[in-house]
Amino acid sequence: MKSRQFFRFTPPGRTVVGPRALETLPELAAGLGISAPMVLTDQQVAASGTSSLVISFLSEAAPPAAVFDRIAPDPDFTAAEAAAELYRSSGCDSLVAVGGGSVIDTAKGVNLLVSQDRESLRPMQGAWNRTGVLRPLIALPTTAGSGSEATQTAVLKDPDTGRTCSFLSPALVPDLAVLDPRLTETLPTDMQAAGGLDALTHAVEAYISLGKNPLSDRLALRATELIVHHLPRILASPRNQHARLQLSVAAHLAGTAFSNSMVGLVHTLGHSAGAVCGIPHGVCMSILLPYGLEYSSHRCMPLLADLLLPVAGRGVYDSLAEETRGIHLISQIRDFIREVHRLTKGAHPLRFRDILSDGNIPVMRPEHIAVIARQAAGDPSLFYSPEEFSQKEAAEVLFAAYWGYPLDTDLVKKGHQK
Amino acid sequence: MAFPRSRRVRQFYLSMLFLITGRAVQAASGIDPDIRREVSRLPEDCTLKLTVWPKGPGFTLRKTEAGTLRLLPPQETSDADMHMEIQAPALGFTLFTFRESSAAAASKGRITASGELALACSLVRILNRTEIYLLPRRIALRAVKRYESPPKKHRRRLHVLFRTLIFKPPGGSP
Repeated sequence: MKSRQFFRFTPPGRTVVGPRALETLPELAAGLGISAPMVLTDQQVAASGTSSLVISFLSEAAPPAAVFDRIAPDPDFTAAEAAAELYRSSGCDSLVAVGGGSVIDTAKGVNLLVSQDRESLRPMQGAWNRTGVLRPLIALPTTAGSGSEATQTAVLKDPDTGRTCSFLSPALVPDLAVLDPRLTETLPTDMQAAGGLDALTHAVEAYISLGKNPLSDRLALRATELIVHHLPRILASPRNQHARLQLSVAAHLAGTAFSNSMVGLVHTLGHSAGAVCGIPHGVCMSILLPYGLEYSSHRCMPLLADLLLPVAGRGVYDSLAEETRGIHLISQIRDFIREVHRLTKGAHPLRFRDILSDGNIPVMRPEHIAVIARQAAGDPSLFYSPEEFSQKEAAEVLFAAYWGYPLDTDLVKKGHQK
Repeated sequence: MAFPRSRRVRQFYLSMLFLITGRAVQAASGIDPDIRREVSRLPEDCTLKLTVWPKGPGFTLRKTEAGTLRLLPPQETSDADMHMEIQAPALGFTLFTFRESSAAAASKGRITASGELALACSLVRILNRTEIYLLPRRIALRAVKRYESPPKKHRRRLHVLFRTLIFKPPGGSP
């Protein structure tokens, strides 16, 4: 470790994990001193009955004073601001988020608004700024992917500019996270795949990020191992409760890792692709992950080599020469994503060109690429990327990911630093 | 442990470096096409502030109508659209002795940012580009993530240094 090394680590809040973890919710809620929580969820989770299950447990200790279920995927400030209004008018004292990353991030936005008595989230954006103490927040993730129940970040879209905006503060870490396999039981296979690959991207990017530290490294490696082992099992057998719980744990570990080391190029481009074209975050991540690694590989080859061990196992790792392990990792990750594509019977796309809207129209078109690349220049995750990139280079990566051909790494301008 | 005298020296060094960097950014914003392009994407009248917590030093830059950046005098620096703060003078010293890049400092969480983070990204890119003009290549290599030598570098460097020294603002009075 260099003597100048400086890092900080914010652990997740209290975490309860297990097949019957939900049963402890009333006691845990009482322990947080909450009496009138507001439940945030989305309509898909509400329709599946998962939020009703949570509410039935929660009501034993603290019946919800309000339920807000108007949260769309890739939510913007509007949902958080409307929920904050309902929170105030219903006399709530805490928040319970039941859903994926969109719901939990919206709950964090609501928490900022109600705790600081503000009307708009726009002036509250920032990184590591001092936000003070927030209201109690309980997160019950219904996807195994975003890891938002463990992170100090929230990403919400500004409806006026269409940009994704970041909020980063240790105060945003939920006070309590409950991981119960019943929460992910009704998740469709393609969403399970996208979530698992999102978590894999978190773990891999956390490990190669400029903000990495020894604590996040351990979590990232373990998360990678769990995801590679359990995601195919879930896709082959969705009722496998043990595998689903392990994937939730992996997503939580990956969330804790990236919350403390941050992520890089894949997220920089993925956030913007999601904002411009409305592509689900996990899908963007899985399409861009091999390209992001190819782009940065010359800067982090030894780190990529380390990742080969949890991805491919000891046998493969030992059989390869040290200098070829990093490149082999990228092809292993490509193979893993192809395997996910096969197990979802093609529902999980391999390139941007294959994502179609309900009317069978591609949601991303080549002319979107310049817009996405321009917007990516304002995404703070680019600080953490091991290699610098310009808008032109971002567009090259996006073109390759759009058509599905490997990146020509000779086109990448190599940084000067080793 | 830092003794009071060394703290004063550090504070003086940082004050000088912030002054020089602020002036250099103002100068470079009228000379370098990449910085001009970056500034053109900023909102009108946008103000960007970089300070050391808790009491400075620092500088505030405002986008002018001419599409350049103007270094604001200290009495005009209360509010900013985006405020980056280095968390401690010691961390600022590491950054401004060019032992690490501004991207690395940001990625290690040594810098806080209040406001739209896209503006913080722009400020870091502008600082990196300015440092390439301001510093000898050997030192600039440590200060930026990727060193790209701009066209007409030497002529532009002289121009930036001249404007920094005489504090001649691009296209207007300071």
